[in-house]
Formats: sequence, structure tokens, C-alpha cells
Amino acid sequence: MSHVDEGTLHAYLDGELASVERERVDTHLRGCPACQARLVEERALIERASRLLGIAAPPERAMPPLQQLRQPRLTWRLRRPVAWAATLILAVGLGWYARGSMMPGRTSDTATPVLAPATPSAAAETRPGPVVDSPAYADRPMAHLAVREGLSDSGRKDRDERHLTSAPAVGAASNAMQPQESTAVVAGAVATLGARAEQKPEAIAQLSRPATSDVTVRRQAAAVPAAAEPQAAPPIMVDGVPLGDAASGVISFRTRRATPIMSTTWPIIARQPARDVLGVDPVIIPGFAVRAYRRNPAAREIAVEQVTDAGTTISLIERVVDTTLDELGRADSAVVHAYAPRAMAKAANERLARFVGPLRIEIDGPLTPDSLSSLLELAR
Amino acid sequence: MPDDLADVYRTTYPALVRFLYRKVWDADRAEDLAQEAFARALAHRPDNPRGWLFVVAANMARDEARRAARERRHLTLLKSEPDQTPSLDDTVGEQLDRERVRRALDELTPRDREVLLLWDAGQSYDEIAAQTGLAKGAVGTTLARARRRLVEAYEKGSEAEHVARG
Repeated sequence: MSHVDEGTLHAYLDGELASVERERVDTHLRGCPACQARLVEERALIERASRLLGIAAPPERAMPPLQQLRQPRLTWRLRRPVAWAATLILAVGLGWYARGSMMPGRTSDTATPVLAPATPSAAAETRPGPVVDSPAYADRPMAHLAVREGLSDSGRKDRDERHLTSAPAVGAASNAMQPQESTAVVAGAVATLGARAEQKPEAIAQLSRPATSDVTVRRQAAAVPAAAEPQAAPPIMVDGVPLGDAASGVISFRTRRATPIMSTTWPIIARQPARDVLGVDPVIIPGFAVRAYRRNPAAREIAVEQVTDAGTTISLIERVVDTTLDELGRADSAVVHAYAPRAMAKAANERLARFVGPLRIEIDGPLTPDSLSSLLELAR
Repeated sequence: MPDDLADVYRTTYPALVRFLYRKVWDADRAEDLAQEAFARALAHRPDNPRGWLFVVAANMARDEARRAARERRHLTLLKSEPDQTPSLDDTVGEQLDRERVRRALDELTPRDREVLLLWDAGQSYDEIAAQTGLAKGAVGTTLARARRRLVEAYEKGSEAEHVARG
């Protein structure tokens, strides 16, 4: 037999030769000192190469349980459609309610702003918050749903004016609203209501009631009091996006994944008050100048504006992780934090977020998601 | 089948992380990608999970490299990133060695490197052949060449450093 070639020697040493071939090599080696010498050399080479590769090995870390890899994926798959269904159902309910209140013969009482008492609906219980007329209603689960009616109304109140004539109230509400939270809460509400609906058919009625009662429904004051004619049926607004025509019943919507956080409108505060709000030092990206700390007027939330070397302003929106979330929600965020691949989050086109200590940090700025992600990585 | 995948996970996860690490050179990122690969496997239930995972991982690492290249271009504008913040448990010497190995690996042809990394991640010749499209008989030859070049490139790199230091 001719000498054993290099590749075969490596396969032999790697234990990858079929037994027949292996025996043939063994036979040759016994009678060929030259090949024996090469065998020793090649063995040394293999060991050397694998030692080098061993140097370039990642640190060994604990493996996350396989189940937890599946979890975020599943919840993401389920939560979105459920949340959309919930939004749709609420919108339809609102449409009915709005039509009812537009019927003639209503007293002026109903025309004044109505902040309906929060009925103990499933949603309201999930996330208790004070029911007041200030932007703090953004804390309440359904606050991002608001129905605007185009009817003019001379009997408006100052309070009304403040909210509605300057900026759309819907915008203000959605500013402060974290989309993730709203999704979770709405999904929770629907789950509960859905369960109820299975039990009794009349639950459909209950389904629209807690929704409407928890939503700010009011008449928009006309800017010019003289314009007294009722205008065309107004659109239902969800997250500042017209959902459809309430009168015609045609519902159309476009997908909006993450509501922009308008943190640039929040009042600027000093660092110490910002620290007081969060309970810990605000997280910043080292190396960038801090331009301002801003406080969300409606929540315990801080936006840290920093300027990159290129002059771009980015915002880190920070809040203490909500400990009132139920077990599921907490487990979910823990999973997202510890294990969920960032690639997955990116695929979902979510706003980028990570957890640093007790804080949940989101990043916002006029950069690509990739760049924002890299910057967020540096936050500490 | 689920048990199958659980077994594969136990036996293959560390190898997959190691494989990915030599491609993205970031431990966190490698773990993320490995976990993403397994999450996809859980959804897809491939017939041959091991082979499938390495193919998916290789693709993800390639996409990642492209993405990183794009990002580097962008980040030079930002000039924000401190260069590869080293992890705390790394000594300087270890980092230097790793950097040398990395450079040596970079000198291999893509095919040689791929075969070497797959072998080092515990893939058999059959599996390597299936993944790379090489004949099984050629895997040994490719590995032999890859190992030799890795060692040579590493030693050449070290020598060059010594010369540079004087």
C-alpha cells in the first residue's frame, strides 16, 4: 500500500475512518516508520490547533432552561392578535356608546366632560390608579382610548378647554402610555372578559360596559363658538389614529407598532429630583453629555436626553419596573431580560428596551434600531 | 420529539455558542444567537436538529457580520463606542492571545475556517460534509490544511509582535 495521505491521517486520528479503512491504515503504519513519524507530527498539530481554538472560547455560562427560550416567542405571538382583538372590540363598543350620547334629547349634563367612575372592571383592577382629571389618567389602563366628538358645545368647561383645544387629548394620553403595558393590560381584560363570555351569552353587554365606563368620553369644544351645526361623524381615535367612521360603521386601521414617546415635551427637571423619582441614579450612556432630565408629568418616569458626538439627541426613558404586575407579566419580563435573544426583539420591531438594576430603560432617537441598540447596550 | 430536542439542547448548546463565538467574537451575542436558533428549532421541529441548528446558526452569524459591518459604518459617525469593552474576568494576556487566534482564524479561507469550527464544535465528518457540501473524503484533507494554517498564522503573528516590540 502507498503511504497514507494527510487527510486520511487526520481522519484516522479524529476517529472518523470506517473500520475497514482504519484497519488498512493500521496495517500500513506497522510497516512504515516514515508514516509513523508523520502520524506523531499530525497528532501534535491537531492538539496544537485545538488548544489555540480553546484560547478563543467564550466564557462558560449557565444555560437558560430550554422552556424559557420558547416562552417569549409564544407570548409575543399570542399577545399581539389578542391585543388587537381587544382594541377592536373596545372600539366597536365605543362607537355604540358615542352614537348613544349623540342622540338628541340628552341633557346638558351629559354634554359636560364625563370622567366616568372606574367601574371595578378586570382592567381597572390590574392596574389601580387615581381617577382624576389631570393627565394622570394616562396611568389608567384604557386612557389611551378616547373618543372625540366633533359636536360643538357652548357649555364647555375650562378643564375641557385645557385638554382639548390645545393639543389633542389623545396625543397627551398616548404620550405617557407605554405600549407594552397597554397591550398587556388590554389583553388581560379580554382574557377575563372572554372567559366570562363563555359562561353566559349576555356577557357581551358586560363586555362593552366596563370598557366605555373606563374611557374618557367627551365632547370636543369647537374653537369658534358660532359654529353650531353638528359636523360629520367624527372618527374614533385609538392611539391618535383614526380607527374608522363611527357613523358609517366602517372600521379601518393601520398597524402601529410602537407609539412614539413624546418625551421632548416633558418638563425639564434637575438631576436630584430625577433621582428622587426613580429612587436610584438615572441610567446614562457614559461618555455623552446629558442635555436634560425630563419628567413625565403623568407617571414616575424620567427621560434623560443625551447628545452624541455627532450632535444627535437621544433619549433614555426610564422607569422603575412595575412591581404590581401580576406573576405572569413579571415572569415574562424576567425572561425577556435574561434570555430573550435581542434578535427576536428586533424582528418584532419593538422599541428597544433593557433592564438595568430596578429600572426599565427604553431608548429613542433619530437613529437606526441597530445603532440605538448598540447605544442602549452601553447604558449603565 | 420534544425530549429529543431537550437532549440536543443539553448536548449541543455549549458547542453552538462556541461555534458562534468564533464568528461574532462577542459572548453575549453568541449566546443570544444560539438561543434564537434553539427557539426557532422549537418552532420548526426539524428532523435533524443538530445539523439544522448549525446551518441556522451559520446563517445568523453571516447576517450578523453584515449587520455589524453596516453598523460600524454608522457608528464611526457617532464615535460613541469604546473599543470592545473587555469583560472583567479577562486578564490582559488572555485577551492578547484570543486576539491573536482571532487574527489567525481570519487568515484561513472561509471554507477551511468553517470546517475547522464545525469540527471543534463537535460535528462529525458526516455532518460537516452535509453542511458544507464537501465530500466526506475531503473533510480530513480540509481539516488538515485548516489546522496547519491556523497554527502557522498564529505563530507568524506572535513572531511579528515580538519583532515589533524589539
